[in-house]
Amino acid sequence: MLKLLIKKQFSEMYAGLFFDQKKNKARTRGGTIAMIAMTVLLGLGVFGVMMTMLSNAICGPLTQAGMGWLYFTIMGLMALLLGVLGGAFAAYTHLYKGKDNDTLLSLPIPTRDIIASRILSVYFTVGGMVLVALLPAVIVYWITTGFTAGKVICGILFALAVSLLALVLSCLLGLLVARISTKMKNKSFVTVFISLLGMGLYYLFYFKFMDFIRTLTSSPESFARLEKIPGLKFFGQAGEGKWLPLLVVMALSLSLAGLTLFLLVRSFKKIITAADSVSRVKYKAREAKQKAPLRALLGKEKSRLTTNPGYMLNGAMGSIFLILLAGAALIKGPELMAHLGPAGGNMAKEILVIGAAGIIAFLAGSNNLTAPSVSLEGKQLWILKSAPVESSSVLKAKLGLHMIVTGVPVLLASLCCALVLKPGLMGGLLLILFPLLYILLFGAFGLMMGTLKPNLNWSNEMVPIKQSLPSMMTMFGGWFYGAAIVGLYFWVGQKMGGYLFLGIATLVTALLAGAVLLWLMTKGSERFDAL
Amino acid sequence: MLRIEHLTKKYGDKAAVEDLSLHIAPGEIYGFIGHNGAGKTTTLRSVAGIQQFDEGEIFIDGVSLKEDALECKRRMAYVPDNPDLFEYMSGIKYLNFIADVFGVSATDRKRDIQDLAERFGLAEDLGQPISAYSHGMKQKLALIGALIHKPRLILMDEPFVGLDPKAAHLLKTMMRELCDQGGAIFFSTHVLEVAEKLCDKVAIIKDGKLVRFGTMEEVKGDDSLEEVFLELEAE
Repeated sequence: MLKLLIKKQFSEMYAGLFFDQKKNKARTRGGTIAMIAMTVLLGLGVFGVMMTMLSNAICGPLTQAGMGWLYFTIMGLMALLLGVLGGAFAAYTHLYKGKDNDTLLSLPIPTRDIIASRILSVYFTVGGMVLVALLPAVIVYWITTGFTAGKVICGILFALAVSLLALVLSCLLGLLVARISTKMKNKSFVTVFISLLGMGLYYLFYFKFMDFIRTLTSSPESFARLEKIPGLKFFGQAGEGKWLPLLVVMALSLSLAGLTLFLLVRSFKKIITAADSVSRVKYKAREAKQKAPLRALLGKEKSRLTTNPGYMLNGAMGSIFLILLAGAALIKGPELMAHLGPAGGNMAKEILVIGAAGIIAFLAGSNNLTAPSVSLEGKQLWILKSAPVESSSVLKAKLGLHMIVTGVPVLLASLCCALVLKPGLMGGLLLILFPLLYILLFGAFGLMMGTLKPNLNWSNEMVPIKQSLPSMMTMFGGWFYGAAIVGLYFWVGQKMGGYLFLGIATLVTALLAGAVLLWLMTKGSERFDAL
Repeated sequence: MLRIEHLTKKYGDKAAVEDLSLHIAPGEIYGFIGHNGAGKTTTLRSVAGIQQFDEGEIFIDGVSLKEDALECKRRMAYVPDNPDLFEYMSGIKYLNFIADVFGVSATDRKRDIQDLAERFGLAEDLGQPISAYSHGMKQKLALIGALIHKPRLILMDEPFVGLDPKAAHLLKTMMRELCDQGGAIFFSTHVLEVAEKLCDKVAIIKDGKLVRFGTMEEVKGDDSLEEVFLELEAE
């Protein structure tokens, strides 16, 4: 039974890899392999390369100093952070918000199997992030210290143990959110608030802990103190290839996973069948203002976003970070500028402006509202298609929401950075224009991908939001584009001058955005008509 | 009012609807019957402008759906067999959205929504999220949404499924009222007794092709509609 449920779950999550909706038939084997290769490459390409570089930098010195365990402690905790970041926001929706809840409960399927298949679905996101982060670390360790069968087995088992721990933390956060939100009014905002609070506390603990480790490792005599921290050395030794610590860490993570499964199974039915505790209020008729169709469509998109915690957390997190950045720039910026002084002159200012524009674009790039937007219409697509509105208006409304939700915080962050950096007219203009055009480009690009590769047959909305090809391609594509611009700056930009380089990058971004917008308003609208 | 000329819609190599022609005049309630998968929903969705078709033409009040889809859509309304509505909205928010895209004025919509919601017994529940509605309540909301812009033509796919007897009776009355005022209704149903009592004309579709159509008397003669339908199915 569990096998059947897992098959169902994965066929839904990765339908796009095996089935071409445009041609309404299964992909060829070659097409499927190409799609899988592209997806894996996108994932490995960004995080994999970053983690390999980091591992390469610290593995040699630490292992030579006999601190292999510290290498695995640092890399293991970093992978754990990435895994929880990837899975925590998805867990609540994955576990409890399936549209097939009633169908599955009505069938002779044990609740344990339903929840286990959903946990596996969460694990696919969490485990994927952990493995992308940890496998490069393990491989670098093998290359640096030499291959042995024992090290290979231990490394793989350690990665599995860490991914299970990340899964446990994600699922427990999902359970907490579900427990609280069943008793609350404005569930969506409560869910988002609790999730953010949970994540905030987790990060606070994590960064304090890493800071603590950094302080301890700053002097050789501190190592002895570091080793005394309960469990820290033991955890790292598991990755290093010591069998006893590995067995204990494995046993612990498996036990915690089992306990989590038990807790989730016990509460599953109660949570998903919980009656609305908020009393029903009789509707009293009142006059509503008439809106133009485009404004009505924009309002519809806004309603979808504000009533869907999964969409808010996964699609609009960048906006929160941008607001935090704006605040940090105003509070810490003057201090930083005073510290830098006039030493670097214009050159340093240009680098700071480019850096600020890059950071703003990077944070804004993690907002991913447009890529899942077409797929989220799902079975309700008939409403838009039978209404007297142009498809181009529907697409404009979807992009409009992205520009409002992301553009306003971008503008705020850019203005705050400009206030602190005082880059002059040209620098200030570029600092504002580049991030705005960047979000326009990747908002439009996400919508283009969502129109080209829609999945309208999901039973859990997290599938199009988090696990679809358009979402992945848009997020990684945005980051890749940003990284390419930074790389180009260090390659050729420094020679030609920072503002000239940023000006050219802004112009190229504007042209690309224009091209994608033109596609959306012509071919994209035709594609939407044909859905 | 509605003229379908040689409509053909294929899924891959298989024709779901083949060379279907049908005319519906103002004032007519036109029933559309056929077995599951016969092509009823495909025809209705094509007329509603929801899905593109391969060959043929569809005219609403003489306006070509291919050439001016928006104008055609302004004159009609569609109610699907399964009312998948925007569950993230409340009932009133959904109705206001529909009224906005159809350009219904604030005064008209307030009066009509209140009137229709009271008649369907949904007035007190309009503030609730649609996700909390039962199937029948969603069906009623979809019907109100279809009626608030006063369409000339209403397309309905199995409109009586999920409705309680009172609402089903009300719907039949409203269908007749709309047609008496010069509108037209084209709807599919499996409930042959309802079709026989309610429809002025009826069309029977089998494997994507119209096998019989005309006035109720022309189609069924002295037999019951059920007998004629079963006889045609057996052929």
